[in-house]
Amino acid sequence: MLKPLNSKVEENCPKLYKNVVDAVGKLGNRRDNLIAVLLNVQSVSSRNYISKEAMLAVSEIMGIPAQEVYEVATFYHAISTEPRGRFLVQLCRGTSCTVNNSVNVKDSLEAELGIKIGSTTPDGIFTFEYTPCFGACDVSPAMRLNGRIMGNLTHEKIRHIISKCREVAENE
Amino acid sequence: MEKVSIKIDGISVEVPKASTVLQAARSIGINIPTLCYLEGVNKTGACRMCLVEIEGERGLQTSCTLPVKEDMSVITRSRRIREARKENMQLILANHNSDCLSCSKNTSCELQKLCEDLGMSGELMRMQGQKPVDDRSPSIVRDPSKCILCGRCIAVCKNVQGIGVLSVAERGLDTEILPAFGNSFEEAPCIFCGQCINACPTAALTEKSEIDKVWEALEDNDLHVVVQVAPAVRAALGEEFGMPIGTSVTRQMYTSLRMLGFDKVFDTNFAADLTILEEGTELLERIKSGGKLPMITSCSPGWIRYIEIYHPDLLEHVSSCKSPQQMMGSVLKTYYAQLNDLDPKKIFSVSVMPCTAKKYEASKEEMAGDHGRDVDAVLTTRELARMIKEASLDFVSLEPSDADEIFGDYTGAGVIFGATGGVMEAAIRTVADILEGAEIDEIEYEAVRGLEGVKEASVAVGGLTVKVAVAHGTDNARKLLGLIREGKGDYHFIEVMACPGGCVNGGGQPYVFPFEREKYNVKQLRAGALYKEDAELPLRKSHLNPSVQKLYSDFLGKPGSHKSHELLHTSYRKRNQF
Amino acid sequence: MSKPVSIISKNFYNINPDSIDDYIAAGGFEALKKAVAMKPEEIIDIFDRSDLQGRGGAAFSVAKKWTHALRVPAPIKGIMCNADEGEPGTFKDRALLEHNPFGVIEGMVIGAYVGGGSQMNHARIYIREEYSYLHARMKNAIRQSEEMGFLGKNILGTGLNIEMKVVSGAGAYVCGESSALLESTEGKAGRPRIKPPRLNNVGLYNLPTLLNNVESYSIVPILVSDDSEYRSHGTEKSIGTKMISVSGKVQKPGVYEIPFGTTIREVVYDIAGGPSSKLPLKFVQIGGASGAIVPAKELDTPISYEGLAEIGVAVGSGAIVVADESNSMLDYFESLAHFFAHESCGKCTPCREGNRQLVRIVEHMKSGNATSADFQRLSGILKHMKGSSFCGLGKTEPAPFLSAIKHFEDEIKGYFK
Repeated sequence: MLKPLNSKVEENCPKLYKNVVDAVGKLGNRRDNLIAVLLNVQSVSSRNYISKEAMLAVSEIMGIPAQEVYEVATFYHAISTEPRGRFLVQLCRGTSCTVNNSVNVKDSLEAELGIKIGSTTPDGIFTFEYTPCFGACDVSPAMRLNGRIMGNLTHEKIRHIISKCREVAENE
Repeated sequence: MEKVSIKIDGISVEVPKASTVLQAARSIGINIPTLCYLEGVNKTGACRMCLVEIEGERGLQTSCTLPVKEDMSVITRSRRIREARKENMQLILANHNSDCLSCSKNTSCELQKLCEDLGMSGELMRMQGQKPVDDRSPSIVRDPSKCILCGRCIAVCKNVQGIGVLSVAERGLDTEILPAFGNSFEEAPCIFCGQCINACPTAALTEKSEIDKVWEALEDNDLHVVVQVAPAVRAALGEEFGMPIGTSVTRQMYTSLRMLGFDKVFDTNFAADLTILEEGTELLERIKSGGKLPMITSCSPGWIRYIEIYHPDLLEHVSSCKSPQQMMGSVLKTYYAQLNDLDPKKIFSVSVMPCTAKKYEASKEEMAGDHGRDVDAVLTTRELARMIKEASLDFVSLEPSDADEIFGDYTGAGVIFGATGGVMEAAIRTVADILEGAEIDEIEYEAVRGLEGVKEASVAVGGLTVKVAVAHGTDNARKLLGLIREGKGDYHFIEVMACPGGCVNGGGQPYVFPFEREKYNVKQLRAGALYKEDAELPLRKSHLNPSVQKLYSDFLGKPGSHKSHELLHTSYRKRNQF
Repeated sequence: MSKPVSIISKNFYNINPDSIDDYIAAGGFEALKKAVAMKPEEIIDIFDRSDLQGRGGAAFSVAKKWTHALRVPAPIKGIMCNADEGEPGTFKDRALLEHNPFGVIEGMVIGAYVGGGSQMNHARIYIREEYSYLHARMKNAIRQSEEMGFLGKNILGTGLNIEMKVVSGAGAYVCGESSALLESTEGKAGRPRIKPPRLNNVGLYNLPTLLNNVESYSIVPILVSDDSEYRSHGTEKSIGTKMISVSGKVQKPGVYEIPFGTTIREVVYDIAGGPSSKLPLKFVQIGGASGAIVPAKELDTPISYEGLAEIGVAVGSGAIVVADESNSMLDYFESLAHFFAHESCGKCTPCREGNRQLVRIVEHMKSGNATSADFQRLSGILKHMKGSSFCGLGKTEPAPFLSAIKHFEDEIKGYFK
């Protein structure tokens, strides 16, 4: 293994660096914990993602080659290396949800959010994407909102959920 | 060695217990097709070309990963397998840029060869869409449209060189092999050794071409275009024209260069001799005055980048000498220009190298002076071959000729630079004579020759026991550096070459198919050509090179002089990984 | 009129899943106490007489697997629980984690007793990230189990040592594959490993490892305690009961425990409240996204290993997705193709490139531009993926497509010009 990085992350992004130090401290500085650390650091980032600086910090603090951190971060769907909206709206495209016409839910969400699925709203509040089945088939059609499962979706429910999100974003 | 008995296609064979089915098959001449497999380097079962049937078992299995078992019965040829191979190839082609006719790996591409072997016919699937090429770095170009995701490049970089610049990013259909974060090779902590290019079966990884630049210069009547050729080039260039590995083509090489239109054809070996004078002097000075020891060679730009990035704390050990390429470049634009009354600004200096890192080296800011850039363009051995072909020269039938005077004059010590241990042996030949104060006759130092990763030797001369070490491949260099850090590296002098085997196996050398590498010891054969030329030359010690002596008496003064330092020495700095 | 039973699920909604006291009061950990007084071979016999099959989908005999583990004695071993449950339409492990976390732990401890390491067992419960709301519950269950001495050092005075942790997935269905699961547990990208060696020899941290599904471990303490009720259900070749997840066009989608032998029709009509739409049923998919498509006319097939095998179908994860005449095969294909394309790890040519072409062909089908050449291509690719892929993902993926082409040939061929 080659020597640690001496990246400039601690110097340039002290808050991020501290988040990583905290995550590693809490979860344990072991290779097995890499995924858990990345998920944790992502969850406290303002744009719900893992930046290049975050990956370098993780590499440095955990002694894992940056190339491996990058490989792991880009492999997993739950980890994003691109900034995302304040609210991540993930619509299930699984077999059950397809059978239960999630396509209507997609249209409804696209209308409410004003963006096509697979993009982020210009104001950075919503990222809307497809996601594979997350095991909520008994309440399909379903979506995840920042990880929280919202099922039995109807136009009404969707409208209500999205407007609540907008409220929260406004008050922040 | 324990053996097992197995059957392959009905043929009984005894093979070592530790063999894989692939190795067993190849041992009896059944060359099961492979793409991602690279003996001793990469064994992942990813490409699925090497599938075989095992009697009594369901499904097809990859022979490259399957260990042999007593009484195993392997089927390598059946309708099912032949169809599976073709279907597999179709799928690869469906995501591959098959514009072979305009590809630099046309005729030396493994995918192409495999299509031929498999008997692909009829309509073949084609790639849809385009992928942007990454040609941001001065040395290495990555074309993802040609990548078949075999992973051999990753394996060579990580497992052989001990570096690991390349990552597998994303997954599934979006899988891409590239430097982490999508960096260019220059932004990445890549050392440009080009071993990844040597491992790539297609043209996904190639060198940054300077062929057009050189044609333009050659076709510009205003420019005086000179060329220098590295020692390792002559040991491999012939392979591009069907000659056996290890054929030395020195004098035909000179002829081909002249016929391409170069005004003067010189030899980097001259500058290799020059380097020995400078470096030997530097070493003796350090020994005498308690300077930083061990001193480490500096002619391998991949190695320099390696230590600057990964071990900057040890930079003081590196010799301040430029590489022979760069020394030659600056001497040509000063002394040579003077001698021939030429304006250095009108001299276009080209080098032909077995190396991809040399392109980077020539582009470094500090590799220039009032005379302009030391070297204006660097061609790899492969690029030279392409130019020779483009000029329609029948290389094999060319009349041998000589290099031009002074800067084409060299001793045997210069020639062996291309092999691992060659620089060290050349240095010892000179340093030993100086320390001993006499001409020593025994000048072949076997202890520093050969392919062992780290070699050591002790030479007792002039009352001193000079301890030396040689490492080739950066993973071996790392081991030596570790010893130095621990205080256990009590050598005087260390030679490091970034490429395993030394320059003869550089990232710019002719492509060798894996089955050839398994059959022939390429590094040894090519190095052999250099040692042979050395043995046949009348002068075999750098300090006896009369042209180098003239360079000093006429121009530089003496080794280590102010002028020498100005033109022939350089400095290093720490570089961040990201 | 068929009804669900509650043997595996007996604790569901009856006890507080966060309380080890509740679990113990309901008979929890009695099986473990009984087990540590038995010989490992005797415990394996219990599974053998119920012919217990692994419940993750691969259906490998638990008795055989635990016997293999017993035959690889080692001081330190790995004990893995696969709670990745990525198969679309499957959420029965979710229910087990939610309502009976201690049962999983007890099963794993018995597993470690039978085939674990003599000095230490590294136990990991790998729960998919999408079930992150259940991680805390399992962590809590582990902590309470440790406090009561059912985990940790010298469990029940037997010298058995287990350290158990919850590991979170991060959104990759391929990590449900055993060797990919290990890679992910070790903090790497979830790409399957070369076999051999098999994981019972070289597994977690290169240790010999025992790996089973959540449901499999959940059944262990029940059978060890008293397998008579379990064995009173089922068929001759499929003894006992199975957790299934029913969804799609049914009135009461959910998790149910059914005796083997219950027919698909009985599940849809009696247990899941009947169809939720007025349109006739068209097909069901059994066993998850890589399961076979079963046309409505086969609805009277009993759900058992031998019953489904009669129509060329595997039990798989036990998921049943119900579709009616409004659900086109094309939409279903699209869902499947995009799923597998998203989840392929990308390592091997047949799966990666096969899925790339599959997505392309489905797009052509959708836009009306699919040709008969595309159909030929589709058939060739499916066959190749089935026979040549690196791991189970690519090998089993063709099943729904091939079965759909067989049963709905006219409809599907109709999408190709």
